[in-house]
Amino acid sequence: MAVSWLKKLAEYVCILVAVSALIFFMIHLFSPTDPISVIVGGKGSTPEIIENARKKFYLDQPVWKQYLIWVQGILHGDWGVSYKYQTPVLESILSRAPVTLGLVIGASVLSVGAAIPLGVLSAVKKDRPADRIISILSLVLAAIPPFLLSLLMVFALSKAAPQYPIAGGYEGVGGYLWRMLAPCIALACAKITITLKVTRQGMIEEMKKPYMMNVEAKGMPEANRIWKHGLKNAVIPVISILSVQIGAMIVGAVLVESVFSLSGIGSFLIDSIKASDYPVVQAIILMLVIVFLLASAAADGLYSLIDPRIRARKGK
Amino acid sequence: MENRELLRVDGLCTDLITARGLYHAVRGVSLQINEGEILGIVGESGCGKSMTAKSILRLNQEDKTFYKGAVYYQAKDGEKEILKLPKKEMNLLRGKEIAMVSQNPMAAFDPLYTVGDQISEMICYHKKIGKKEGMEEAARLLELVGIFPGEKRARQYPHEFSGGMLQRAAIAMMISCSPRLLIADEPTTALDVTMQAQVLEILKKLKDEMHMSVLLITHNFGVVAEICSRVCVMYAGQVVESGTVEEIFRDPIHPYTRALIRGIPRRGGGSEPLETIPGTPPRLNQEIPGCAFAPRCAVAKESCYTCSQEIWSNGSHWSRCAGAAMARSHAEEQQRGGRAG
Amino acid sequence: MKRMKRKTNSEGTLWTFPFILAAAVLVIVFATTIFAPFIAPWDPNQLDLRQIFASPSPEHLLGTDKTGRDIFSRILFGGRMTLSGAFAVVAISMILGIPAGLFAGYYGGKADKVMMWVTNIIVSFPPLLLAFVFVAVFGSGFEKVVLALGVIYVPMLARTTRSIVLTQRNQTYVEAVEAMGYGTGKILFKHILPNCMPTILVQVTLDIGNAILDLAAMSFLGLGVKPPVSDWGAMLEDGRVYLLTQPLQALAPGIMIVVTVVAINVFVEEIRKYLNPSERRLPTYRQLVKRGLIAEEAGR
Repeated sequence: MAVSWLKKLAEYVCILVAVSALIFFMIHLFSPTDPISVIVGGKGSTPEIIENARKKFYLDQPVWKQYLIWVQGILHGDWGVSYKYQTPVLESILSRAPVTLGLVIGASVLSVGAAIPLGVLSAVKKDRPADRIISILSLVLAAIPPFLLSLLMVFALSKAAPQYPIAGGYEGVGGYLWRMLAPCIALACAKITITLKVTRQGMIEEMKKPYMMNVEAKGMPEANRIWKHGLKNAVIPVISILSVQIGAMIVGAVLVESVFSLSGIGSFLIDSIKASDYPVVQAIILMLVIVFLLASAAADGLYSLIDPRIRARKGK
Repeated sequence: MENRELLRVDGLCTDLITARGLYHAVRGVSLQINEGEILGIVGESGCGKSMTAKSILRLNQEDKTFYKGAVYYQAKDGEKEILKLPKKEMNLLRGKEIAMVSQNPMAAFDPLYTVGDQISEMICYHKKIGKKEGMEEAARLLELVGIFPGEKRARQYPHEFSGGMLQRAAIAMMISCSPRLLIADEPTTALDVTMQAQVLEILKKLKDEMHMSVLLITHNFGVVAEICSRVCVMYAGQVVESGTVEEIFRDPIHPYTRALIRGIPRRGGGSEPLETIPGTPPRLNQEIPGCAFAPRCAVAKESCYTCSQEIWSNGSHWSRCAGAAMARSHAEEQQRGGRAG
Repeated sequence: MKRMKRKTNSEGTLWTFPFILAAAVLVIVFATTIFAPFIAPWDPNQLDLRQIFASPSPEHLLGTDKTGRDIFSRILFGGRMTLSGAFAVVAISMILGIPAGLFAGYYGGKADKVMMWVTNIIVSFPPLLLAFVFVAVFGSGFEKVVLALGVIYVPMLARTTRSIVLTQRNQTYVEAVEAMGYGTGKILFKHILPNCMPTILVQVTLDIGNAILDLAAMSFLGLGVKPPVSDWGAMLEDGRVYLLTQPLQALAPGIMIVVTVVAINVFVEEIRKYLNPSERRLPTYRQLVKRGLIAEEAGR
């Protein structure tokens, strides 16, 4: 057990080191923009100011040394300083985290919560009207970009419920939840298709397996077959796409945030890319990679929680 | 007690929908199982044995299957026509009154739940008892079929069992609610010889001690000879001959039965090659006029291909080929006459 | 008009109703964008300040935007950008991904293992996130985004190709051409590739739809096309501010994206069902009777 976890951990550390190096060196070696021009903003810069900035951001050091300084900083909780705002990156990210985190978690819960029952229903009623309606719906949702769906939602809300806060800040936990509801629904709908399809396919295959006939021969009611035996087996492929789905959610959040004028990490990332604010860009991307790895670790854990065969293999 | 009818299949036809039309898997099967007897159904693969068994429990996908004929079950509260039973009552019958052990033991259990959980789930549902008692009962049943220690084994997952153990566990599960009829679909096929003997022993014990009726489906005449009291021989979705084991082995009428029996390997049979039946079974996606076996039959006449055959019967023994019976008695007479003369 | 006889794919034909519909939509969309210069009634960038936010009329089919530009014409020309961009993305991924997949699948071994490990990691990241990184490093712009997405789509296509090559690898015909002593290049591209093509084309067609969505997203975020050129994503971004005054400006390109991608997905789905008979739906009893495969029986 411990060995397999250590192996996994080593793999994750390798990926993190590789990704962080890749991002850092690519940005610092290839980017067309000179960081100094971003830092001093181009207005009235004296050689002295430039020299100070160079020192402050370690730009006078060779790139590999800058990388080491960056990594060392991260290990000590210092994710660097923004070129544009001259403030610590971590602080800015954390202040925007509730929006993005809420959006991603809320939308994930909503979309999985809707996709699994709908997928099961669709599989059980295969080729019947209910299945067709769900299939067409998921087909259309797969083709709607998240920003368009959000836009439609903003449009509909401003016509139907003008008092709903589609822009601006929020107050208190209730206000936060209320404000986040619409973007979460939009994002959940935009990203529901894959989970739904995988659930449906898994369920259809599961219901065809020989042991299902056995469960039926035992006289167990249909609900037992579907929700106890079928679903638990069908959920396994859903877990395998979990980390990919989280990634899709994060990117979707970037698009949804901008439409609902939420200032989250996503829009921060895009603004920083446009402004060539590299410390922010590399910090956010590294953080997202960490989130992916956490998600795939969680998926791994869920696997062995559900499937005794995987537990047995790991135990060896 | 003996010879009281438990289940009667009357002219059962099972048609399955396929992309190309209907597939006539079962084409008018009639048979009867009495209380406390083991009835064997024998035939090549694809002859409709398993489909007959599945049809008795209505385990085919409902909207892709059509049944004709009737299946009468003598329940404690009167006769029931299974093919017309509403879904809810069907579920009360399955497992509790009629249980079925399927062909592949590896595929009998859900891989994600413990064997004990899957046995007790059934007991709890049918007998309305608590989970704890269900697990205890499951452990007891596992020991009954020779899986020790039951309590520990019940907490294990299917992948921790061997094939033979799974087959026995499947039997344990299916007899957990003391059904009156157990349908065993090729219970020994996937097992090695020692395991086969053990499983047959269990079936015999169930019949003797629990007075359970067993419908044993197999392609192995040896198995039939060992434990069955009566046999139905099936070919192309029909019963072609039926009778007691004695009658069938001593006096097979139908050319197909005879060919099958000649194909049984014998102890000390020497180097003589076993007889095989030439040709392949017909495809069942179209109507077959006349006798389905005619193209492979050594004694077929022209009329066999076109006309339906007359039925020959003699007490409990009957066959779909009256011609063969007649030819045989004719030959016997000649022999007798020859000897006399 | 005669009622069209609807066929379902249980009959094993490709010409099902959804397929014909999807194909027709795609033909119309592609034709109108290819021939945009001949069809478009206006110059897409021609300002007309007397006619801002005009409602749809025979003159301006979909109305005009804040500077009086004709939305219909802009849709046609925007579609040119979006669709040609999507095709370019897929072309790049094919040029790099198919050979990579062929060689990896054919040779196997350690290099293949390492490649698969890296590929699986890359594929688990959403393409758009990788595109963000590209843009962050190399700067924004339509050509750069197209190039970036093209490269980002490579591992996915290489993986698909590789998996099909593995199924072909041990077939008799491969052994035969190997025994004839053909060069690896010839074996791979002349013998194995044609047999892999159906599956690859299905994947590639799906990728066109994905590329449309991803390109639109990049342009929507302002990382793609730069004014005055516009594509559907950028039009959406331009129009969203005026959503309440001139909804068509944002909705029209949005609808175009959705319709095109839905059509592509349906198109692919129907072809896939045609290629894999096991995915076809079984006919119902009624359909069997209608097709004359069985005689109707009373009481059913």
